[in-house]
Amino acid sequence: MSRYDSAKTSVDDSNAYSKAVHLFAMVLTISVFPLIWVGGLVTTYGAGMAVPDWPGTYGWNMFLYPPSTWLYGGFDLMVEHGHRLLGSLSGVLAIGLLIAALLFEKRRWFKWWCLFVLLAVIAQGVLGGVRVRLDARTFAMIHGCTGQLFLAIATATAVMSSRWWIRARQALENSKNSKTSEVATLARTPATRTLARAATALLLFAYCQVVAGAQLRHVTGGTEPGSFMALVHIHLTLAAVVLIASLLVAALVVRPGRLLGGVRSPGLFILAFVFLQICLGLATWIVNYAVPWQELMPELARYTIQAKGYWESVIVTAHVATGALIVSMATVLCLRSWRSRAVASH
Amino acid sequence: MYPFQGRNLTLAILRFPGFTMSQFLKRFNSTYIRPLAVTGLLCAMMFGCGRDPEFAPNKLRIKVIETEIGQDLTATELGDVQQAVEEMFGSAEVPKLIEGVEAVSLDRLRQAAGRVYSDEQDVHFGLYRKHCIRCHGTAGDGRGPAARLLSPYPRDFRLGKFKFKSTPQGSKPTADDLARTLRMGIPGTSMPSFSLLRDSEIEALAEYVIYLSARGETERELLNQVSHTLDYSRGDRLIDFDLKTKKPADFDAQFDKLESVAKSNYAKWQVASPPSPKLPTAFPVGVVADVEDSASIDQLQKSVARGRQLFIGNLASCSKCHGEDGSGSTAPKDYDLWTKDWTVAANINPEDKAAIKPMLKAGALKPVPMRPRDLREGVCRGGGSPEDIYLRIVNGIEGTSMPAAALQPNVSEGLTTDQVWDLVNFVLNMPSVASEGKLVTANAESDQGAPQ
Repeated sequence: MSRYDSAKTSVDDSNAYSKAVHLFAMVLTISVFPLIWVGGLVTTYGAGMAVPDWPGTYGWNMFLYPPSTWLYGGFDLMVEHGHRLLGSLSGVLAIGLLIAALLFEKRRWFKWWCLFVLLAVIAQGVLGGVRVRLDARTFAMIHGCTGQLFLAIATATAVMSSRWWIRARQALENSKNSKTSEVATLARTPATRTLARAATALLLFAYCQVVAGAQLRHVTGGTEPGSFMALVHIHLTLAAVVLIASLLVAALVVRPGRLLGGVRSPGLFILAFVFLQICLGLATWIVNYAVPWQELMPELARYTIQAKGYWESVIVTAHVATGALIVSMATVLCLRSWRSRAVASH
Repeated sequence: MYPFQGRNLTLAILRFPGFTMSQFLKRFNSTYIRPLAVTGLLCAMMFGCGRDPEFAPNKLRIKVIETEIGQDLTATELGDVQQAVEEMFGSAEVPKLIEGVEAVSLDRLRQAAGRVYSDEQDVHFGLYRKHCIRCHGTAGDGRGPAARLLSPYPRDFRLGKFKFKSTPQGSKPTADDLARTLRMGIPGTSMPSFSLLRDSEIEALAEYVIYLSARGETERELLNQVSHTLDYSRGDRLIDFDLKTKKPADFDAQFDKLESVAKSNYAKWQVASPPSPKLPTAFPVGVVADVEDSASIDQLQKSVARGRQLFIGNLASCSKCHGEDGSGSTAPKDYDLWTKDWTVAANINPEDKAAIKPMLKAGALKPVPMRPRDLREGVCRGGGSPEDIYLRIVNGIEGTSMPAAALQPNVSEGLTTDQVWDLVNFVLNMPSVASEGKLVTANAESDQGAPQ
């Protein structure tokens, strides 16, 4: 089979859409977001070792652990056990996704992908377990980074199982017959190569930024001040790079006469999230380490940080969660950009 | 039909964007090599940052001593000190307590030290690592990972000096003073309020600070002994751990001497809480705008006026550093005790970049001159209640240029107690504070935070 034949096959899947598969993929993606929030809370409150065993909980089967002890015991126990239960829910949804794919999905490679999703969620759970069993903060950090990666994987699954993705080819065909319809607009104006590359670069930068943030968050007493400072500089530099990349992407998706179905909204959402994220980043520094230049901000110089305070915890955890949203949206944009180019070129 | 029959999955996935693997790799190399390099660097750092922290030797003190004596301390000298300190104080994971020490309890030290975890009864352990280590460092050296980026720098506990306390200059703070700083935090700095922690947790942390302080002071004294008192070249030893099995009696005698050093450092912490300052009877203390009774307002305004005269006059001489407007802009350049300890005390000019370079390498943080509080901001870091400000005036602030006021009757030319309260009233009613029309009254609780 020639290169072009196989490439054509990979995009020629106009009849492969399965509502069940897409539904599972969407629910899985949505379930991962609160999982990241609660996981973020676990780190914010230093609650990673509130349950010393794994996969059980204080000797109980995790699912049979008494809810009264879970909910009315300590806060740390509540968030850590809650994180495990939410993680299990994602695992169940990944199993459902695979079963739905085996039953309804026509694309063979996508069935393999769904198996990969299930293996990824299992691996993520095992990483969490290793973090507990070894009581190792390094694994907590890796678990945090791969958690965000898993959200990107789940998002990709939702995108690749969507009606838009499946019928993009069909839209291209329709465009030959219709000059005015919305689908025709999509097919005639696929993402530019620049946009697709910018979106890919944005995704990579955003994820690097997540990794740098995780380093700062999981720093231990053994870290040298110089290393911490270097990490802060890397995090700030990457923030600037992500901002520039998101501005570029936003400019590309709103270019006059270049309305790109399925690309404009993620592009603009990313920019909004990046602005929110920069504000949250500054706030995170302030609630962790106070205002760097008190003499310039006398009002904030009166602020006393409240350790483990409600707003302090919400801000820090929201910074983590918004980072995950940026990675997720960048995944959507990246995949849709390349997909629109792929269907347009065949 | 078996569902996973098909072509090479990797190729299928790589082809979906519309180009082949070789094209993909070509673009990948040209466009994404830099982000990947950054990711690789970050991953490398990821695996370098997870080390379990342990007590490190006081490298800065060692460097200062080596500069003083003009030669490096030998491995045997340093080894003896470290081994002796570890024998008496244990490790960051498992602390030890010498018999007979009453300033701290081993149970509380065990709760504060070691790894972070909590049990099913919601009792929390590893409190220091959880709450303090990022700034104050494992050994309480004020050199945690974040220290370099903070202003002011986190406190180095190893000198045993603390700024905000109810006791006079030269005395240790009480455990309650430390607990109060933990509860209240320090406004405008990176020191948070831990008021959401349980009392038992605050007490455990306060005692752990005492433990780190006693450990740090003992380590300094033992370093001084090996460098200044003992002559290792003639066979002197601080302690010879080989004797532990060979000649236990000799070893015990050596170890008892070292224990007495540590015990005396702990004993300094057994300080009685001084009585709280008593408010004056002749006039109220607080913010003018908060007082409704016209007679009290008149008395308070007169007190503020007297306070202003004292503030700018020669008796109290506050304006020499704080300026007549309270902005703190007139203070001569000076450094705090924790900086002078490795600069001025070692005959090093803190502004001589070449001279301080080896010290920075040994762990010192770049010297930053002190700034007197800008009183117009209404932020008093040691607490903003009248009693707090009174204590700062009469006790001064340890380790800084803020001196303890000379008081009558000890000093015939000193301030009277009422004059101190006049100064307190003036500080509380600095223009920018008073103009906001809220705040501290004469009835404010002594543990009230900074003016809001």
